[in-house]
Amino acid sequence: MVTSAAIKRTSETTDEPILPAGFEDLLEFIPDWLGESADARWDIRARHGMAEIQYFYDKMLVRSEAILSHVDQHSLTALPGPTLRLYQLLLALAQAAMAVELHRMPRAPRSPYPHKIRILRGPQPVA
Amino acid sequence: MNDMPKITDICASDITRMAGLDTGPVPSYPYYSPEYFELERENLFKRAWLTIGRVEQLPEPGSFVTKNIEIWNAPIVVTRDSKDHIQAFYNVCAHRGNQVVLEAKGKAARFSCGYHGWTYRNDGGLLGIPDEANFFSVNKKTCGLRPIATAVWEGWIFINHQPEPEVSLETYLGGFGQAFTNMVWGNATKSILFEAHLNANWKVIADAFAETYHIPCIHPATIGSTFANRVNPFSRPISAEFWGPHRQVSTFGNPDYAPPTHARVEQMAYANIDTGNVLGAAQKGAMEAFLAHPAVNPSRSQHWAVDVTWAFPNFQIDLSPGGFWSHRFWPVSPNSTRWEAEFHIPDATTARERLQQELYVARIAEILLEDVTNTERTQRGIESGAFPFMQLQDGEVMIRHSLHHVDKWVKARTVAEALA
Ligand code: FES
Ligand SMILES: [Fe+2]
Repeated sequence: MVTSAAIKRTSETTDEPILPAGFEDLLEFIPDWLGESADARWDIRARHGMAEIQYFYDKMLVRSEAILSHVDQHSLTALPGPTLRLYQLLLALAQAAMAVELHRMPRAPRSPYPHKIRILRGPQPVA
Repeated sequence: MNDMPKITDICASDITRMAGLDTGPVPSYPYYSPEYFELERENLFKRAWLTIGRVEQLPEPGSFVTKNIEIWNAPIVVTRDSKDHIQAFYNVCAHRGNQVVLEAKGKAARFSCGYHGWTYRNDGGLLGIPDEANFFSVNKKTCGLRPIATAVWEGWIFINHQPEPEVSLETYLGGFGQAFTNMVWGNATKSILFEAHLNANWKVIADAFAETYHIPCIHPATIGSTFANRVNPFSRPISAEFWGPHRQVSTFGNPDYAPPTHARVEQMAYANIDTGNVLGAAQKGAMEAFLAHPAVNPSRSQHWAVDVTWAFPNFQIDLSPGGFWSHRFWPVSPNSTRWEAEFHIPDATTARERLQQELYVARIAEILLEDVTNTERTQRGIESGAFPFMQLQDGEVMIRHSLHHVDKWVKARTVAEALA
């Protein structure tokens, strides 16, 4: 579900689409899985249950090559809003993979949540 | 693997005795005693050279960063002036002690104190005093920012609390410094920074990154299969080196590691990217000069994963096929520490490379989470006093070596005596 508040938060102008044309099937993950830093995406995954993470993982994985090709039409340092959001969804797949491919549970075994570690500076470009 | 190698062909044994250390249990009280902590503060952290980071944090003349050195109870500012000189100062105004620079980092030719407007150049000199005529002949030459002894080694900025350090940084680093001379620090300009304020003694946290014995237990999914295999199921180290109070252990890597078939995101993100193992970020091919350095994988083992290098007292540099990272452990109280870890990454130019970096960071974050949250449980156990001693095995030799030298500094009357 895309709420009007979410559109307002994620779209710079009212006539800008939330995601690029052709990726409307992924709108269901906005704003839920949209994190604007590596630290935020880490937290988003940690807050979800395994069924939700697996659902996001499965849907995103089959779209990942198409997203990579789409993003590579632009410079990583100047992604238009819809492409940036699409790419940030894909970056959240890296987090979903930690639960699905490594732990087979939402968070690292025996780790507390919330926890105290912050990623003060993540990889650049693309926050 | 038809020809299974034997562990004795891969891993050195009896490292502890080789380092000249005894092999008995070690006392627990240095990990929680307030008295011991105060001795560490005065005799160790106020006498040893401490790293605050790399020169790349100050990329151009005018760059500055501020830091809080909790164990000195001192806010500091580090600048690169117009002559490219890097210098640390107390971030304290000579007028009535306010903190002068409030930003975490930036670029400025001068700093103005927010309380009454005293102004300083970025080389520390006092520039101006508002309404100077109403003071009583202030000697402006002695009222600049107070400098802190600063020295740079291989791009790492060190500071020393002693106004005139008893030994130079070069002497302090000794053979360790020489072994790392002309190191090629790949991708030093770009880094990812982790930080946590943890309820554990600084040594508990440093120890957590100084042995691989814990890896199969603490990190079963994240790196268990990267650091252990059937030949070396408990991840014994390959070799170790010691230089005075400094030390390095080369850790074992499973040479057969490949992303498992179910790890489809890992396969997709790492397609056409070979970083040697999952702990480094750079492509192996780009790291030739770094890997050729004699201090990297010093035994030239085929089974090498990471060199954990521990520069005394609170600084670790880790060297891997995909580059280097570092940890700094800043003591706050007997049972609290600010820990920072910095991982260096290359520029990502394609969407796949940037995704691979996100996966890299995500995995590092999980590993660090497994490591450091365990330290708080460990601290609670140690400070209960249930056991006055701890048992250390041969692979935990760096911890024993650390405790030995911390204790030596704590008890030594002079730095020369501590280093002897
Ligand atoms: S304390 Fe800085 S100007 Fe007064
Ligand atoms: Fe660990």
